[in-house]
Amino acid sequence: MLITPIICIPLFGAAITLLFYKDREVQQWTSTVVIAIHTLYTFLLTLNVFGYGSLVEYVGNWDAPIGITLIADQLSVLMLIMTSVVMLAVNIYSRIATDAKLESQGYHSVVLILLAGLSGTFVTGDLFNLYVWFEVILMSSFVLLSIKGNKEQLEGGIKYVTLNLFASLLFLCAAGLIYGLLGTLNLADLSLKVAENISDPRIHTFALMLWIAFAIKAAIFPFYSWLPSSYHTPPIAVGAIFAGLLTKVGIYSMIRVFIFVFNPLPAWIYTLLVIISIITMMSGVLGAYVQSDFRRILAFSSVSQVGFMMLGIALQNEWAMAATILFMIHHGFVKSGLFITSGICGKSVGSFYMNRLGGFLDKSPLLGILFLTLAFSLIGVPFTSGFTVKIMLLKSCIMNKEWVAIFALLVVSFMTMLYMLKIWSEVFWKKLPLDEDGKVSKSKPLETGMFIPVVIVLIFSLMIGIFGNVLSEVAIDTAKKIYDRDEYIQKVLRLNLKEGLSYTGSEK
Amino acid sequence: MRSIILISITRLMMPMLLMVSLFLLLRGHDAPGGGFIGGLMASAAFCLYGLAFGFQKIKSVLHTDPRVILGLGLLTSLCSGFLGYLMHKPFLTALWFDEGFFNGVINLHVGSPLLFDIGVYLVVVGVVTGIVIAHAED
Repeated sequence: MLITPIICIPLFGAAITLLFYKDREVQQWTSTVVIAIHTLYTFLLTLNVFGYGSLVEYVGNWDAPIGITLIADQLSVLMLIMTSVVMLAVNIYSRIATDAKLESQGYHSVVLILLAGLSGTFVTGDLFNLYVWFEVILMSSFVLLSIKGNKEQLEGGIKYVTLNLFASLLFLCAAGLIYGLLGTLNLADLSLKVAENISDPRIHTFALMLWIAFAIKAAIFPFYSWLPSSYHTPPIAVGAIFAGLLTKVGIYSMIRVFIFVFNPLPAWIYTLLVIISIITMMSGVLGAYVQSDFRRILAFSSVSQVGFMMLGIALQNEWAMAATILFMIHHGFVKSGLFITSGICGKSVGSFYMNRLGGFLDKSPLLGILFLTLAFSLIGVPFTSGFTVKIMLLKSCIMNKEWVAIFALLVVSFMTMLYMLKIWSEVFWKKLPLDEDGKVSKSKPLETGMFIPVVIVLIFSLMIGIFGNVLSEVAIDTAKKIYDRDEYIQKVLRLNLKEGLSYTGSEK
Repeated sequence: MRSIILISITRLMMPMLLMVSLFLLLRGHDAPGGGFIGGLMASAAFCLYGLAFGFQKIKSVLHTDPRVILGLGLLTSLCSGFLGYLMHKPFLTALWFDEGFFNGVINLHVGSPLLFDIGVYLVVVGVVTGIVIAHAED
């Protein structure tokens, strides 16, 4: 099965939406159909990968260490499923919610290009190509961030672009230095060559440069300032895409580069990473608790959740890795669902500030239930996806005897409950507040169609909770394959590492 | 403000710039040149035209909206990739006429990379003129 369609389908859709730039109907339908096809293709690809092992494709017929190799392994397809489902949900939401002006400015084309960039990131097997996809994501997300062009959006957009351009610069420098030292950028080839020189301090430096670049993308402790100032300014549909998908790109690249290629690094680096992830968790949760804007709470909560994912990478065992993989998927679904919920509430009242919102439980008990389930999932109540991933993370902490991390994990989960309760009591329980003239403020009726995307992501999130047993085994298998490297390297470089294993592949 | 000097120079330069941009486009792949640089050269020509006659006139020279050119370019580049699938080779495989593509009917060193470059050329022209027109509107 081919991998390239996963990138080409959204690009093709982007071209169509550009050709019909005047026709809103055509644009909407094109993007829905294209994203639906992308989702379908992703599921087929997943079945294929889990059935017959990872797929490799040599773009342009250039062989492995020289050309660009695309590889779809279990980690890639899991991330792709998360991406396309979130994109589909957001697309359904934006059909109802986005205004005509946004769409006339090319919203659909840019979203499709962003989807192509995300898909490319998850299937590439080449460090430089990874950089290129990062740039595609950066440019399209900058357009989405500042699409309205007002002052608030430009502030968020400029912060976002400055920090992320710095990340790109570091990434590019590190890629150049690595190429200078080892003469290759193909991840499989690189992991073989790094393994030979793993004690070289230069390798450690390059690895840390890459880590900083990815940490900026993932919004980890010293570098997260771009996230809270940019997530609450764009239209909700864009915010949901950002919250669900963008930080995961950084974490995913960390797994690929830090676990797969530069491994094992000196022990102090991993201790440092554990400390940083604990600080990230804590600062995100404290930041979320003091906010009074619905969307800003969710943005800061994203920072704290990224800390959990980072912890899984820093702990360096298979359970932790598996927890991080599932955590990314769980958080992608839950956070985009919560963002869409905030959009439904905010659109009805016309404000996202907690003191203006209220009374949504009376208005729509269904919305209340949806929000509560998502909130439970974020906190980690049993039978939700958060429970599965947090239990896995706790188990790996206990295996590594990281008592501080366990303490932090439990405290942060408790604090998560506090700020979700704050939203619950302010937005759902409280009566709708009176406005300045003492009248009951007006609120528009809720459109039931907007609930569909929330239900979609909720179903996927609950599946992680209910089938936690099966999925955790899948995740552990995926994590083992990342640590094991052999299968990946053999597939990409067409090597015959083990005696007696005859090679069947390229010569047809 | 319309300057007669600029207008006369533009009338003289436009064809030349566009010819050079096409030359760079065709020269690309094996020698310095290619779609990107050619496209930049062509969009420089259109910007010069905009300076002389007003930026809204660029659309009438292009005969369409820059976004359409952008979309067409993206499609062209994708098509050159899909040609590889038709020949049962990976995406974006370079296929040359003088190396057996199309049964060697045409014996010229032309192939799918040129199609890709034409796509890039159109994308660059579309993006640059689009940005310039949008900025002139503000």
